[in-house]
This record gives sequence, structure tokens and C-alpha cells, in this order.
Amino acid sequence: MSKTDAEAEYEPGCVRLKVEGPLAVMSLNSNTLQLLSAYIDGELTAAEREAVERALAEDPRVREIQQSMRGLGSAMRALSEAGVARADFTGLADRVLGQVSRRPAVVDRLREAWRRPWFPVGGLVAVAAAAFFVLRPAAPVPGGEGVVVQSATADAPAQLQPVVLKTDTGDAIIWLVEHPDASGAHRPTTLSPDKPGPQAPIPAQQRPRAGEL
Amino acid sequence: MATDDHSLVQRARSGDERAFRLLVERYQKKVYAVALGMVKDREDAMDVVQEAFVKVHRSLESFKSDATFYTWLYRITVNVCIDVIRRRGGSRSQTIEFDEHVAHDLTEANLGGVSSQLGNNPEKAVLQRELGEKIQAALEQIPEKHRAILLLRELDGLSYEELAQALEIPKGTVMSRLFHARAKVQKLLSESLGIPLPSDDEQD
Repeated sequence: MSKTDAEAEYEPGCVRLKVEGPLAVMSLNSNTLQLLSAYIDGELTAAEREAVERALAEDPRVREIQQSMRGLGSAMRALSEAGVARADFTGLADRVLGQVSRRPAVVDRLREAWRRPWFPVGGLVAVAAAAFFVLRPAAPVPGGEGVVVQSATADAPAQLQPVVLKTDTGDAIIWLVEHPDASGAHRPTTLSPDKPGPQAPIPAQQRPRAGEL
Repeated sequence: MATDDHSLVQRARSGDERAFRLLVERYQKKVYAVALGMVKDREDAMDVVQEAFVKVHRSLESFKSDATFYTWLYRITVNVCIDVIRRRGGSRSQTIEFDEHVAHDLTEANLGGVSSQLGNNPEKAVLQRELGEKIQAALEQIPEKHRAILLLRELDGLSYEELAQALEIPKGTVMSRLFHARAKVQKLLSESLGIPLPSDDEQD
């Protein structure tokens, strides 16, 4: 539909306006006043313009409202010019350039980054990964706080050698390191009766004590 | 060297400070006029101008070259104004100082037949000042979205297409929003000036 058609329709969200043929007298309803407002701005189709001009010629009330609408614009411009005339713009460009040459605030940088297509996706992946590691059930940590070494066994004839790590608070973390026998060869597990079984506790005198390194 | 907006933006993007400085100097008064109309405080308005241009500079990379620079600039300005108004909370308005020139222009504006009422009234200057204050008060009372569209239209003469771009609204909404903005200001003025608006029974 061309803009010169007698019927003018606007996009969704706009009050639907219809001008059907020449109007002898336009009533002062909101449609009329909306047409008058757009007429002042020079934004009407030819048919709409013709209808408004006919109304202006025939109805003094329409002329008065038109004068008032135009007057409001003139008054706003007069007031604005007075305000601008008193403003001092000296050094404004320098201040702007000085500000942009500094590192932008963290919020601004994040805001700018968010506009980049990869950032929201990457950010969500990072958040999901962090949430997974934070929220997953905690696994028992060997040697961690509250863990007491009850026993230590070897799956083959080997020597157990303690490594004791002391913390600042005096607690000790004990690692039992299995050393192969002198030949270095792996041999099947053969437990002799005089040696502790797989679950047998280490004799007290064999247990390492803190500081025994 | 070309100094149209598009060329200056391209040069500013590649780090040409002089090009960006030209853009600031070209639009600083227009942006200030809109900011002053929105925030009604000279210092706040100047802060808005500075912040708007800083945001423009930092967003040059995201500016679409098929858009109009000044509609983009106005969009950023209006958003900064709204941030300032909300951050500030209450209104902090300053009345524009009047001189003979402003008073004359206001009389010529002839709002609702005020001109004829002023006539040769011996208190004309006082009445002119009152008129200016009432216009400013009326503009302050309308919603921000109405004030913004009215300022951009009346001060900068943006077309409906440009207003739609600047405010990110459909063109049809521009038409109805502008009408409602004008209607609200005129209603407030008619009440404060005691001048009834023309109407008939069919008026909504």
C-alpha cells in the first residue's frame, strides 16, 4: 500500500488510523488530534494531510489546538537555547578523551564483554564447571583432617617407609611409601606366618612417629 | 579529508582522537540540550554529556555502520539521563534564567492564546517568567519516555523514522507517543495557566 492511499495503516502498537475520503468536519477525538500532531511534524500521507487541512480551514478549535501544539515546540526551543547558551563546553572533549584513555571500570568492561557473542556462552560454561566442582559431594581425602591411619599393608614383600609431613599446627600427615625389594623385581604376594597379614595392624614399634624423617 | 559522521566514526574506531574530538564538538550542544531537558540540572546535564560520549567511545566497535550516528548517540544519551534521574531519586530542577530574548520567544510561541493575554500588560515580564516556569514544570511532570520523545522531536527535529531508531520503538508508536506527550503537557499547562483547551463531547 502506498503512502498516498486514502486508507493509511500503521505498524502494530500504533493507534489504527483510517481516513476514508474527504472529511467535511473532523471531530476533536484522539484520532483527530493524533493526526494533527503528526501533521505538524510533516509525517502524514497525502490523504491524511488533506483531511487535516480541510478541518483546519473549517474548524477554529482545530486551528487553536494546532497553534497551541506549535507554540509548545517554539517555547521548548526558546527555553532550551537559553539553557545551552549558558553552558560552558570548554575542555569537554579533553575530559572525555582523558576518561576513555584510562582503563574502564570493571563493570563497564564486563558489560562490553557481555556484548561479544562468545562471552555469554563461555561464561555459562565456566559457571557450570565451577558449580560442579563446588557442589559435588566431597570425596574422602587420604591423609586429610580426621583420618587416622589404622594399618598399612603391602601387596608384595616390600619395605614400608614413612614420610611424615608436619603442619604449622603440629598435626602430622603420614604417607607410607612402598619400596621394592633390593632386586626391584615384582614378586607375587606371599605372606609368611610371622609377618602381618594384609589387614593386620603395623606393630606399634614399627609405626612412624611425627618427626621421624 | 571527509568529515561526515560515518567517516569520523571509522577514523575514531581506528584510534584517531582528532576524529572523535570533532564528533564531540559537533554534537555536544545538541546532546546537552536533550540532557538538560531530561535531568533539569546544569551540572547533571554536563555530566550526562560526558558520560554519553565516553560510552560512545567505548562502544565504537559495536556501532553498526548502517545505523545513523546521531540516533545512536541520542539513544545512549537518553539512557544515561534515565540512569541519572533514577540514581538521583527525586527531582532537582533549576529554572532557566530569562533574558529579553527568551521572553520574546516565549511570547511569540503563543501557547494557547497566552500571547494575546499578555498584550501590553505592565507585568508582562513577570508573566513571561511564570509562563517559562510553568512549561518547565509541565515537562517535568510527564513520564520520562514522553519527555524524551518530545525533546528529541522539538529540539533536534528528528523524523519519526529517526525517533524510532533512537528510542528503539516501532514507527507507529512514535506517532502515538508524541501525540500523548503533547496532549499531557498541554493539559497540564491549561490547568496551570487557567486556559481551557478546545474540546467537544467526542474527545477521549
